[in-house]
Amino acid sequence: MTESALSLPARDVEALGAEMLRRMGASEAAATSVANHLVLAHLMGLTSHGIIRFVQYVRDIRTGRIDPTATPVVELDQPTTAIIDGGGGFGQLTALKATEVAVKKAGEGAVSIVTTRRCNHVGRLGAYVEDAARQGVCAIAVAAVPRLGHFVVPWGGVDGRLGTNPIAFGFPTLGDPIVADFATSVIPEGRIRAARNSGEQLPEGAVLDAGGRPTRDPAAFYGPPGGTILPFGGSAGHKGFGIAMLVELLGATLAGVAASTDDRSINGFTIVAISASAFAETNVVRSRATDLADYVRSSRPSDPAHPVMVPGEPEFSRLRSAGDNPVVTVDGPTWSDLVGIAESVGLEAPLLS
Amino acid sequence: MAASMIDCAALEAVSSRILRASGTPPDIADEVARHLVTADSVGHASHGVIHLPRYVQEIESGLIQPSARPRVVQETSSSVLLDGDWGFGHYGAMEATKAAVAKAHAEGVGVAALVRTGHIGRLGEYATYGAANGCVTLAFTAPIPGNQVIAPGGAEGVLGTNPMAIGYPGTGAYPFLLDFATSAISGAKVWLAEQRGESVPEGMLLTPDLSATTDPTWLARGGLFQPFGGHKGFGLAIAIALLSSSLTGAASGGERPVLAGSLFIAIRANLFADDDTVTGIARSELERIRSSRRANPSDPVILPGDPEAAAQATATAQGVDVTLTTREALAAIAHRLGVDPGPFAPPG
Repeated sequence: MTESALSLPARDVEALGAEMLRRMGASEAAATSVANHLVLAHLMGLTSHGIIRFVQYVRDIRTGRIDPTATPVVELDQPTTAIIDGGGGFGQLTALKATEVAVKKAGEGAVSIVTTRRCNHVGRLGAYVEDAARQGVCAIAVAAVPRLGHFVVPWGGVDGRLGTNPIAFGFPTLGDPIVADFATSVIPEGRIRAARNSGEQLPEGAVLDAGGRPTRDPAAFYGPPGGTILPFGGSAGHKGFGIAMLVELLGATLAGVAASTDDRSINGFTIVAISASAFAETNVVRSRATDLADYVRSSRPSDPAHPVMVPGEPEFSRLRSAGDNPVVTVDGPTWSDLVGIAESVGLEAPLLS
Repeated sequence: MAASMIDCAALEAVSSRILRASGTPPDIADEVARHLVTADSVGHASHGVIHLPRYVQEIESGLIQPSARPRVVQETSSSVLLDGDWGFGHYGAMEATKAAVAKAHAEGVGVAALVRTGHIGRLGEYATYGAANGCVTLAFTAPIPGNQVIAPGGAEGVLGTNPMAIGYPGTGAYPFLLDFATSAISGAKVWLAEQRGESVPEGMLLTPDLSATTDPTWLARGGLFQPFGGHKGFGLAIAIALLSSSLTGAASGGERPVLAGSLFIAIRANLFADDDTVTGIARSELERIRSSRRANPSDPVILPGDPEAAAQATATAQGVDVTLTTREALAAIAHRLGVDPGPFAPPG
């Protein structure tokens, strides 16, 4: 992190972000929900899906990509399925609605699938499966990305043909849910952005330049001409590529959307939900999952200073460690963009402490 | 046909005969034989007839109950829990898949859980069946022994190789089929390498003290696998264990190791848009992906399912390769059971 990074009270940044969105036309409820989502993601360590996005969302409202007043509408409401039309509003609202509907239907019938249309950037995908899991429902969620976000090459190719296409699994336990949430590219685009802002190099094996050659320079990704991102899995990248395709097929194709030609949906969000009570009592299933998590955690670590953790645990630990008065660390360029946007809507950003 | 290449139909027939002579009802024997030979023919020899000698032993030792059929433990219009009663996993899993697909056709989505079977074989078989019947189909399983894969930063095996498979309907001549273990390599592939006298590719296998090795004989001596893709693959591996075992109840202990079980989810493809729209989009998107410029001009961009389709075409024309060890074992078994050895008959 460069010297220009700042530590700020999370509550202040959240309040600033929410007020910015309100001044751009969002309702109180929508602004609060979106701001809370972004700051939580940031505190959990997913800075690529955190405060950096306030700036993007305001710009998207200005270009008309996000309609800050739109609320999600349930369509095609069947016992096990539904479509949520986000109306081009905040993606978080659409995805939350889809999750709520999927959880309800799974609770009534055992299994459900809900997809979305006109859904904008949903943020931290894990938030939705976490939400389901806390309600005793197992969930698989995907977020497909349209052509404008096709930075990821197919395995063996050098042209971008897929989005960073994240997938997330959430499973209930007796404590925190187990949440696996990851982009199917080696890294998400937001991480490249964050690296560029903080002046860091990218990890090895993540990005190709415009000529299809490996590079660690974030600037080479942006160009112009721009580069691409590899699917995850290293030498087994064909597996990551296959999962990236699965995300598009479930998130967009199944919903009747061609990701390569349709730019109206920024995130093709689809969630599959199975009630933990489908085959046994919920608490029995929670208990089995807890036993599995404990068993995995009990593994001897190869480095005693780094005990084995289960998916989701690092994020929940960070949130807990943040305590009652959490502080967010924001890189210099993001903060300066945020201040600029705040000023443009007539707000003064909190003074630096 | 080269000496070790065997005609698929003949291989299927003799495999079924061997299973029937071991006490398997004809329809179950046929299904298991078909599953194994299909695995061989789509290039997944690691899940093919290489296992047949072991299955015969397991029938004889009582580990597999050959005439057991899965029975319904509980059922709703969109879900079912099946108890395999320790019968053939291949048969049980196909019944589970059929149930999930039927429920998906009726209700939109169907989910089937299967517990108390041994290995269910090649997961792609179930994904393919569902896709051929109009459903996006996901299959997950937590195969025993379930203790070979280390957590990132871990020093001992805590999970199984936990594969998943997805089939997507209507994608044309090369059906979309994603089928992979979440470990760096599947245990069966290591075993196949040993049988063929080959090494395991670099970076896949570890000795019990975590040294890298390419020697497949370590599998039986406490060898370990990394998850593929670091913490992401590990996340998948745990998710699959949870879905296959914790959710289904296979993880409830008893006479078998803790983690086992399988889960199948079928989603009717025309749920949100009509069939033509969905398959049309799938085909054009896949073609667009295929059309990317290549990193290496002589290597095509390969989509999930392409290798299987290509192998199938070759196998139909040329038969499948069966290792010498397997051929000899099956010839001996056929002789012992008094069945027609078919392609394993001694020459001349």
